[in-house]
Amino acid sequence: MPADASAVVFNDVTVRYGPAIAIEHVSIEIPRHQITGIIGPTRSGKSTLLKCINRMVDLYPGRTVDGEVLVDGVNVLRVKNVHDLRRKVGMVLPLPVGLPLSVYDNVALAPRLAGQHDRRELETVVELCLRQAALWDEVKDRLHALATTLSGGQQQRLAIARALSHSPQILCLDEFSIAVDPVTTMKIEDVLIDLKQHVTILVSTNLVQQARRIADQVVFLNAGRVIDIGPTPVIFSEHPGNRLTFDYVRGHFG
Amino acid sequence: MNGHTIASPAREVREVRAAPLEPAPHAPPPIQGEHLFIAGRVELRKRAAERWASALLLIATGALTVPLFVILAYLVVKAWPALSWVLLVQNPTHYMREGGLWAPLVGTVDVVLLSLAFAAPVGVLAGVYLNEYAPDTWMTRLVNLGVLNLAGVPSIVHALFGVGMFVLAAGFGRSVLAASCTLAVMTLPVIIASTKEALAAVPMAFREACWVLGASRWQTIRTVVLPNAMSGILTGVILQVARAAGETAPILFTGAVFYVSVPDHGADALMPYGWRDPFMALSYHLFTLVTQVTGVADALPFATAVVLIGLVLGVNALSIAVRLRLRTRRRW
Repeated sequence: MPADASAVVFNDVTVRYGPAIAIEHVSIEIPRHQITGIIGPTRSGKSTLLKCINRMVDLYPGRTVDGEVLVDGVNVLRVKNVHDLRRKVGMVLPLPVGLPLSVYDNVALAPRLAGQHDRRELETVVELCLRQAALWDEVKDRLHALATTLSGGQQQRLAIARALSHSPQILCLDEFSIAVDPVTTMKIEDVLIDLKQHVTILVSTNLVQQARRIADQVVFLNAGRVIDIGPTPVIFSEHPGNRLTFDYVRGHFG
Repeated sequence: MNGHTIASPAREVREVRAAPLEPAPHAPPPIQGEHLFIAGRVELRKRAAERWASALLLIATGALTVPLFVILAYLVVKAWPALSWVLLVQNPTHYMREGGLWAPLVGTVDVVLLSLAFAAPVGVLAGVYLNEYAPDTWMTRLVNLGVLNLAGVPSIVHALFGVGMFVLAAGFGRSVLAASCTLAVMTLPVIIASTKEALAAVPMAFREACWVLGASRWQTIRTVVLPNAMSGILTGVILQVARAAGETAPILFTGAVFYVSVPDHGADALMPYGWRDPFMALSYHLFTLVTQVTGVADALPFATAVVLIGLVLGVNALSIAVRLRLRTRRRW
């Protein structure tokens, strides 16, 4: 496998919150420009896995992170400038959050914080990101309305537009559909499939079928350990790498 | 029930209809028509409790507000003969027995504004630090505990601290500066506490949504947290302005005096006191009118009280107006 085929490499990563182990001895590779689905029951470490990549894991006092997480060959756990890292690794959180600013300002926020103040540039970025997030048609007439007045599904797509506004190379979505209606979920899934030409995407999800629909590669976590990893067709076949995987994707446990 | 495992729809309907036709002896009449939703015993008890609760809450609210209006009405009625425009724009004359309240009024306003200039920036910034930056250590908890306890310290104790610290040690003497500093020390803990509370009310999700965009802590505070906490912060600050304007004890030892001759018209009338000079203040003036001067018209102390309360209520009204304006932006 050529060196630049993997966008993210986990090397024996263990994360503890105090004495509680969130993930342990995780060693996986995330291929570039593909969608990697991360499945597993609740508290299996899916979110923690994603939060290691953009160092949101730092926000929990008392956590320890061992091992290394390589993004383009750089160990992000030792990166000093987490702000640049987070611009490179976009993230969409589980619950839709429209920041209490206008729709336009929500998307323009990250470019502005990075020092972009040219009006025309900002307008281009805002429109592009809203179009990519399949939200433009619904909000183009009320770009200056308060984002908190949008519906939950719209706010989640707004969160995706925000995440895209700093042109990340990697996009992590942490259970993006738990507070979103099925129609919006389908829209977002289509968006992700379009986006993967430009961006490496990681999606953690409780919905096994969602991973089956959109992922090229699936990682199965249970109790903080990687149980199985492989191409989606193999994971969902009669003979995945592990008996547990077979049981989990068919709903026999979890 | 019958022993059939699958009842035909027709049979179910017949059973439902049949039930009311065979009432048990002495059973109440079947419930139907407008009696269908009549309250049972549980609902009646629930409704009674509801009525009691709302009556109790109403009485408590009345016990709070009725005295307030009675006091205000009483003050205004007693002060009525003395209330005039002259009161606000002229100095006291004839050994305080006549004239207006300009000197004490402007003294109170100046001292309170100066104390606000010290306390508000420091208090708000300290509140931001304690809520947004400070790591959760025993030291932080100790500081938070200290702030809360300081907020409960009686104002006379702050006054004694002001005498020791500002009047004597810092060498300000009894002056506008010393009194302002003392009032600032008195209001500071409450401003810190209310700022912290306003910041804590901003949902954590907003901060996280901002951090994932690569925003630094300060950028997040500036763009998302502060704008949404501003109405709460301002409310806290303005309430302390009202408190500072009304307090007598902290200025009693640190700068307020019986009488100062200052201009009540012309360019100097708005800032008539020097930094290092003693000053007159409304609250202290009221105290002297009642206890130290003989032969004062009955209405004059009441009029002084009305002006003082008017000042405080005016500041509170301002805070409500500001809050309403800011709250139209804040919807989540």
